Amino acid sequence: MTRVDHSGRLPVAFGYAGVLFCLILAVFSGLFFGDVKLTVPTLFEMLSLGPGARPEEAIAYDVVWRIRLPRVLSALMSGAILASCGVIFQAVLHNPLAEPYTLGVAGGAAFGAACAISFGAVGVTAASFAGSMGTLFVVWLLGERRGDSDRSRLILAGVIVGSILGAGLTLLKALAGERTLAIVVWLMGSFSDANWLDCPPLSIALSVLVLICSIYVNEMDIMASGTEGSALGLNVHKTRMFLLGGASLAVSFVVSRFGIIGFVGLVVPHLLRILLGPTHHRLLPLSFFGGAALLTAADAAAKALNELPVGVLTALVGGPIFCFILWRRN
Amino acid sequence: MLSVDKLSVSLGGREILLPDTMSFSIEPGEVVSLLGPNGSGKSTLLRALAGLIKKNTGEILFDAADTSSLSVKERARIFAHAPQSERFSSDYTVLESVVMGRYPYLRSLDSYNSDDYQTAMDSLERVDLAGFENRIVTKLSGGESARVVIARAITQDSPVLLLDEPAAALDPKHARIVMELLKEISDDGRIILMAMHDINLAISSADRLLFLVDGALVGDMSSSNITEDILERVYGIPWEIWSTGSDARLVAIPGKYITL
Repeated sequence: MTRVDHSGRLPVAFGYAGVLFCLILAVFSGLFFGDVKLTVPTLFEMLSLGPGARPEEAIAYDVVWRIRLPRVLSALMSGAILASCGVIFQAVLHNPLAEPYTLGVAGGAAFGAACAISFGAVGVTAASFAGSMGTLFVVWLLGERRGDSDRSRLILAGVIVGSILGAGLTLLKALAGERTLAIVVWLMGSFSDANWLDCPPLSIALSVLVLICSIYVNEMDIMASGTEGSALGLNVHKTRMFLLGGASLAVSFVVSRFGIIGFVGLVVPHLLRILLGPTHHRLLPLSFFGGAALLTAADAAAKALNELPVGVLTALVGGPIFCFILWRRN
Repeated sequence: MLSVDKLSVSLGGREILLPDTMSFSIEPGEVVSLLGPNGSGKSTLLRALAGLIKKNTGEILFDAADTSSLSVKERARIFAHAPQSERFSSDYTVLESVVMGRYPYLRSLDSYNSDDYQTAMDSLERVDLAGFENRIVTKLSGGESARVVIARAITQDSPVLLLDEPAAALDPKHARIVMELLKEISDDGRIILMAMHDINLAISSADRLLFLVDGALVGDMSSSNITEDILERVYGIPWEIWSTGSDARLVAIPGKYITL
């Protein structure tokens, strides 16, 4: 029997070991650090009590179960969504610069949120979600044509619509007066007010993504290889629609609730690809865990640094890492 | 049998293949070479047959069944298309790239199995790339990646192989290896249709020649019946055809292009 010997690539077991170690460390940091100081035994004791308990040390219990755990889970699932969507976008659009926001989802979400904040700060999440879905629809209408060679058209449509929304956003900020600050803070992204209500939609989005990824894993390899998919029997239009539509929808859940968190979808896929090769059987599962680890760690650090916006932290840390990868590739 | 009846294709509003002339059929086991100057429609014809571009009018029949109603996957089980040059741009290994030729047979949620990998390995050996399976495709030479594309098309195991200039990037030895391989494949009753520029390679390796000029099919003959006239008509320069000594092989030599 012949097996692929991925010579020159890191064995996949090392990848899993490294990523899972980072994830455990990140989850622990997220639960342990914060305004209320907990000892390690107290943390584990509170965790072992399970949900719905009424212990004597009510503060420690509430801190762990009501504040930190939902926050850690939200960051973890958001990171998994952003990184795996990065993998999907880069494969389907066959472009190393593609990321989950390439089709304007973030621009739409930002514009929607800014509108809601300007007009009274109610329904920000709903407006933001509507904004990102509306933008996706317009970009798709403009950019998608049947046929193989139109990937750049879709990217261009995303960039153009994004620029228009960017201008609109600047206008809103200029007109928002004292609410400008609220818009700016929203844009930077944060998990500081994450709660248990955020977990069901995120886990649904994540499950849908896992399903799409397992159905289309071979298809993503063909699309990423740069070959003409239809010559190999791939229905390119349909596959692209499912993958980009599903990924954008999942990302909309994240950005509309927590703001624009950049670089996770760009850095994690590239880093894993360099270490493990481009095959999506290996890349996709690891990107779920890798993205989860990175964003959970970034959120723990953001919390430790006096609630810095997590979007700023991922960009500040992710940016230089990305530069390093780019430099190494030469 | 592959039958093409009054096929026409338009790209950007311009008619690339002219339907009045575009009718021919190819028997199983035939190796056919498509000859014609740049822009005569050779690649377009191959791509239309493979279903990569839409035909305007006409019919493409395989074993008397219309191919236009087939799904993309079903079509890929009948037609394998090897493009002239492949833009390999991701760091897949040679084996990972070649095994993608098994995609038309893959069911949803399945992965390539050991038989698929074995078929891919066999194809690599047949194009003289044994030992290359773990090399990264983006780091291969032009001729090597051309052979990866041919190996992938063979791995597709389809009854019709459409190859766009399969030997253009190959050295004489590997051009010969690939031509002999295609001959061998055709002996199983498969159809080989390949666009070519090397007339002598076409004469020596194809049973039959089809000539295209400006989207029109202007000649259809057995390789041994090639004439100086048709070559001059197709390429616009004079030709001499010589027969070599003992085995009476034909050799075509281009003459001067006279502008006056």
